[in-house]
Amino acid sequence: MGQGEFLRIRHEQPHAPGAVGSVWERLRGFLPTLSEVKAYLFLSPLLILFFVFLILPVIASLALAFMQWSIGGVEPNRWVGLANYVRLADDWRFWTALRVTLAYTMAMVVIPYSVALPLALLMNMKIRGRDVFRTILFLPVVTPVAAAGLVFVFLFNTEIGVVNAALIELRLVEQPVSWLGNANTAFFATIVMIVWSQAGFNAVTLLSGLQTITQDILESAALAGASGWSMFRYITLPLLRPTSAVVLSTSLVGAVRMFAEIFVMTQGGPARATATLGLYLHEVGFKYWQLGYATAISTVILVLCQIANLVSARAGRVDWR
Amino acid sequence: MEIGQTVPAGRGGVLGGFRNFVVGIILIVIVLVTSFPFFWMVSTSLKSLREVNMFPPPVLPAVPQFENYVTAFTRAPLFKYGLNSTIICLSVMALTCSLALSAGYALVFLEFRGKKLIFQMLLAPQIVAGVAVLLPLFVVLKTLGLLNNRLALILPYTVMYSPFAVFLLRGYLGSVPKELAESARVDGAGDLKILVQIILPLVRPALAAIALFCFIWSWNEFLFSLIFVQAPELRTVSVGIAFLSSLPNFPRETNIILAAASAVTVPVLLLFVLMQRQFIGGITAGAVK
Repeated sequence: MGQGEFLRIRHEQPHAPGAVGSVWERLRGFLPTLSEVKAYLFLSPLLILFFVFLILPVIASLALAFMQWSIGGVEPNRWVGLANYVRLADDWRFWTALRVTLAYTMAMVVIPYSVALPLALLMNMKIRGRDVFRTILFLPVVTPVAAAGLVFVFLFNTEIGVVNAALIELRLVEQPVSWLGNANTAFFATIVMIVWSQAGFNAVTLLSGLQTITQDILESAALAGASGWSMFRYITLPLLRPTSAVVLSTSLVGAVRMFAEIFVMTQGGPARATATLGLYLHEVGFKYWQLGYATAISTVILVLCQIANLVSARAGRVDWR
Repeated sequence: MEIGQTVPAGRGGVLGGFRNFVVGIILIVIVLVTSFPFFWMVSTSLKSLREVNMFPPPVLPAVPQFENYVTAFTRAPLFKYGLNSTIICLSVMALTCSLALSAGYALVFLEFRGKKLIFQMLLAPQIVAGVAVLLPLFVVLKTLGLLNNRLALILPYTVMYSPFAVFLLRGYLGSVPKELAESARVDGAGDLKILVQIILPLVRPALAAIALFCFIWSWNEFLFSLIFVQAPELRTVSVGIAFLSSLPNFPRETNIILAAASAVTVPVLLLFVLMQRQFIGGITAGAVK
């Protein structure tokens, strides 16, 4: 038995129900028991790392955002209050980045899911070789971003890229398309790459979710008269909601934080057409080394991520009908 | 047979067989589209310089130029990058597994105040990752003098992957019967002994999955390895590849560059294919409630 119990038994006196023990006992109750000390010892390595490399940075970012801080800059680091945020409000590049981020967010919530759901449904139907399909569809997810980026840049290359070659060969276009040279097409090209690298994850996850919808459920629904579209809409889809919520929320939060895929393909070009907040942050922070200002941007990203998380948590609970 | 229903055995029939066929065709097409970039990457890596710059490009090289790979390895210190990445990946694996197991043990088997709070805190960070925390983490690392040190990647990666690891382990640990630990405790075994001798063998599948994610994700990670480690001799494979494309010869010498990219990608793809069941099982266990 623990310390607390031992003490209580030693000092046991008849109490009226609800009466309070001695001050000493209550004080004693605040101290950790042996078991608790042990538990925290087991937890401490992870907790320490967590604190230093996650909690501390987040707290620091709240402070840094109110400072003007640079590395190797001429001016000394100093507190500037809300100046960084005021500057953000006036910064057309920031607003452009925000707009671009929202565009990517909308695309990345809708497209990967819309592609992945039919895929998952298809894979759920066919039994033979399903594992093989699943594995291949998942390969893009485990591919290094840098390698994938290089390949796609080359695929979309204007002069010697295979996409243009195929389009011209199929007589869909007459001139080679400058994919990465135009704002809209660059956006499209990056979306293609992102969907390619993420749809597999969505599809495989949705597939697992689908497989929890057992045969019994479907057969009893069929007996109750459901079939085809109504079966899908009233049985499958609602039962899939938790998994869908996870998939969509991952896409949503990932979209707000998007950096690597776009960086390796376009570095935010052309003319900021693909410059998300993440890319703008990188530019301000690591090209111009204005860390205070860049931290202000990262707090905006943090807030957006939090909003995204809350939205998807809420949506996961809402009745879709 | 309706959408969403798995094909029941023995209910095929003519129409059923046709439906299967169509589904199969569609899936094969999708799979071909998905694997096309990989195919093109490897195919281009084996082409000659002339073939790379041809338009329209040939599908396959006339004669595979395996020496492109040799050139890639002499042009960039890919072995060194690979070594760096391997060291980092293995360290992250070991660290994450042990820390997550340790923390998971406490969370599942021990009672203490603040358990719920700690648990919530450990699972929360999905939001706070990547670009959002890049700058302050950079400042923290700089203050600690860890920049240009492999630890600058190992430790943040561990923190990033631990929530998922703890989540996964908690599920597994939860299914370990508590009586096992209790009877060992009655026999006088200390917590550490219980953990290592009794619990560890039981959660091996979960640890395998965790080790796998850690390795693959650390190998592929780009942002932190770009920013936190600037010294060229400590660069990881991921960043090393990206730097190749900033050479003035890209895209003309794409064959060499994609040879490097293939050399870096194919190992991790193979690793995934070999262990795909554990990997996918682990990931979906986390996602599907």
